[in-house]
Amino acid sequence: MKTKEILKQSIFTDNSICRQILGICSALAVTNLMMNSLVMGLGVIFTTALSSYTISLIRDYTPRSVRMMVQTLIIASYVIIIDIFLKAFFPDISRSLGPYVGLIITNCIVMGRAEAFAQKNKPFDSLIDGVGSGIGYMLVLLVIAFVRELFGFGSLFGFKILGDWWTPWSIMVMASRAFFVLGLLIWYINYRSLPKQA
Amino acid sequence: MDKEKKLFSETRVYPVVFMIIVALLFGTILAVFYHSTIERVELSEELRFKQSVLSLFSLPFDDVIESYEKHIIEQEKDGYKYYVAYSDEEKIGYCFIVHGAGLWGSITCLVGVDPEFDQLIAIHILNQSETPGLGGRISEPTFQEQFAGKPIFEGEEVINYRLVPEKDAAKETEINQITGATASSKAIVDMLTDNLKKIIEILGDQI
Repeated sequence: MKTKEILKQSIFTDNSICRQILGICSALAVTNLMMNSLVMGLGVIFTTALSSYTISLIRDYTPRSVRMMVQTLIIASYVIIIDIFLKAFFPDISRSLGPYVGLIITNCIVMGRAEAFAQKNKPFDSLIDGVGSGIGYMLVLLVIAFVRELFGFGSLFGFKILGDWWTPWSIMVMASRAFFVLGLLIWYINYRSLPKQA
Repeated sequence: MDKEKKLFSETRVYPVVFMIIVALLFGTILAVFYHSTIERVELSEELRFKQSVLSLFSLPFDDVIESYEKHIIEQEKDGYKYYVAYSDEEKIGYCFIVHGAGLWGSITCLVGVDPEFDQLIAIHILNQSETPGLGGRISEPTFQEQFAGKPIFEGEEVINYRLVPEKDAAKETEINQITGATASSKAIVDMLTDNLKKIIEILGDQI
């Protein structure tokens, strides 16, 4: 497969959230603010790309029986590396992220890509697939966060967009409200892209 | 079965050996990485702590270490460590480190109290692991700023602030809670009451 095709497939056609319904927990939890979603997205891009690359590198030597343990170990290692790196060099960002970084380990997308793609493809292709899946995840998060932050706080990326006349819908800030936005989004995307039944 | 023709990668021990090697390899990488950055992390934590103490009393922190040495004196009583802030030789307040249980993990917070022990100067949350975007909003300035100037006593008792829905707080005994994060808001209020009681017990005769 060509790089471009892999990217297109992992970002759009096989979008982790909308088409595979993976990574929903974090999509619900962090999407009340655009900034949180962006940072979470970047973290997932980095982790998925590098862990897929590493897993693909050693795929021929990994015994099938322990492959999941190996995958988890590698993913967790990268997440801890990000955590330490941010703490040491970007303490401000690290503090604002708090528990987010740790949450990446539990993201099903990372292990999903390791199992579905990296285990049977070349390292470079796996890297591209990881980046693509991460971008696809981030895009959906940003769309949900856009709706939730705009209605819930009247702002985007922390900047006030709607004036004082706007009464924030506090309900939009609750995690469960992301279900509505996400559900509508998936409905729309499937309506547009799936072949219509006669 | 002809044992000699069997490859090592087909034996039963191979997965075990492989797993041990991978775990050791990544463990070593992490350990090396951790140790090479630990000094930086500790230094930045120390700076952050000192800066937080200074900002609690609105003291300058252009040069954190110098300003800290000039204004803050660390004291201890019965093994309890606390900090006294001075500005132009005059005592402007106390700073205590308090701990409490949040919804998900422990919360560490700095509390600034005026020299007469009448009201809070400010609070500053150092560490918390509440739900990001919900309980995590206790770290936002809008929530923390509410505690500035709040009374410590209500009658003879240490106060327990009452939580009211966002934007409803009118009296000085009320705090706006965070919508969707009642438990975390409550945790902060209770933490303050519990710890202030303890502090007054320990330092009773000095204040």
